[in-house]
Order: sequence, then C-alpha cells, then structure tokens
Amino acid sequence: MASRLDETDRVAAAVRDACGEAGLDGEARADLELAAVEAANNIVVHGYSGSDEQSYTARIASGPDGVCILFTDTGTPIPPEALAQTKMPDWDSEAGRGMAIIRACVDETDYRSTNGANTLLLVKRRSL
Amino acid sequence: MAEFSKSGDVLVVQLTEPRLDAARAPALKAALTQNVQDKPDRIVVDAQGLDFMDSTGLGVIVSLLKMMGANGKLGIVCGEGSVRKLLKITKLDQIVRPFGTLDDAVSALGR
Repeated sequence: MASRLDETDRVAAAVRDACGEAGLDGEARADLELAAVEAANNIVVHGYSGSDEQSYTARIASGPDGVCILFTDTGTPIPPEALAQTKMPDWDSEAGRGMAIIRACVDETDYRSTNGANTLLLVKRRSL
Repeated sequence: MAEFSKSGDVLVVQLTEPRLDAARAPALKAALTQNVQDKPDRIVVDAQGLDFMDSTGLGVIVSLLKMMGANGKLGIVCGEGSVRKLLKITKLDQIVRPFGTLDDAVSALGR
C-alpha cells in the first residue's frame, strides 16, 4: 500500500471481504474494519509523518476462528507510551484516540519493532 | 460532504457521503468552519447515511462542538450501528447525544 490516507479504503474493503469469508457477524466486521483503518492511519500519519512516498503492507488471513491482519512498515516505531494507551483522551481532544480504539475493537494485538521494521498484528475471533 | 439547513432554531448538518475518515475529514472540517461561524448553540449532525467513521472523523465532530457557543448542545442521528458504537467506545456519547431519528433529535434539542 502507498502511504496515503486515501489508500485505507482498499484496506477496509479487503478486511470486509475477509470478515465475510470467516463468517464474522456485522458488529465484529465493523470493529475490525475500524481497527484496521486506525492502524493504517497511524502508519501514514505518525510512522511516515504524512509522507506519501513510503509504503506498507497489510496481510490479511481468514479462517474458521476469525481474521488476522499483519501490518508491516518501516517508519518511526510507535512510542511505548502510545502503544500502551487504553484510556481515551479528554473529550475536547480532536486526536489521540486511535490506539485505544484499536485495543477496544480487537481481541488481540501484538506489536514488534526489529531491525527497522515494525509489525502490528490484529486478531478478531469469531463469536461462538 | 455536508448540507446545511435550519429546523426551527436547530442547525442541521447532513453528512452526504458514506465514509468519514482521515482522508475525507479535512474537507468536512473546512465546510463546517465556513458554515458554522455564528456560534450556534443547537446543532444536529444527521449521520444516517454514514456507514463508517474513524477517529479522525470523530475529531471533526469534536471540533464542531468546540465551534459552538459555551452552552452548545450537539446531537447526532446515527441509528444503532458502528457510528454509535464508536461514540460509546470513546465515551463521547456522554457529550454528543445520539438519536435514532432526525425528528427525535430536533425535538429534543430545539426550544
């Protein structure tokens, strides 16, 4: 994916397709779509500081248990304090909710930054 | 992106696109800045046609609330779907009151 905000539509469409294949219900699909778009936004806005000349990958896998998305980028890593964010900012903040939203919308996250590459795994499990 | 109208003393902002995300939010914020200059204290955002909103789009809704007068009341018509859930996750449903229909929102916020 090119590091542009308008490319997140493609991520969202692929996530919706994968959720359909996995049989996730409507609420779970919406949750994962939102988490994926927030993750992609973070890469473009924070990882690459808005530069549209970079790229990242979003690998999506679906199965009977749910859907996994693995984002990989080479931008600035997410700071530890932002990564741990679960609390929402004050109501009048116009930004800063992305990571907390991601955590609220998926069942599992795993973030690693090694040798200049950052990976963020999002997992949404199918309700039984 | 948005259409503006009045219903009594309530300014109605109808969102006309199905997605409000980081790519589209700046255009909406510019339209709001241009059309909400007199600090109205009653606004309803009609988001019934909105299928998806991310945190950047939500930030524009917060900016709209900050454009209002000190006693401003902001409602959003969004049914029971993903937009309402985003408001709940972020606890902004305590600040921006969600409604099921435009009539309900205008009746509740109008004087």
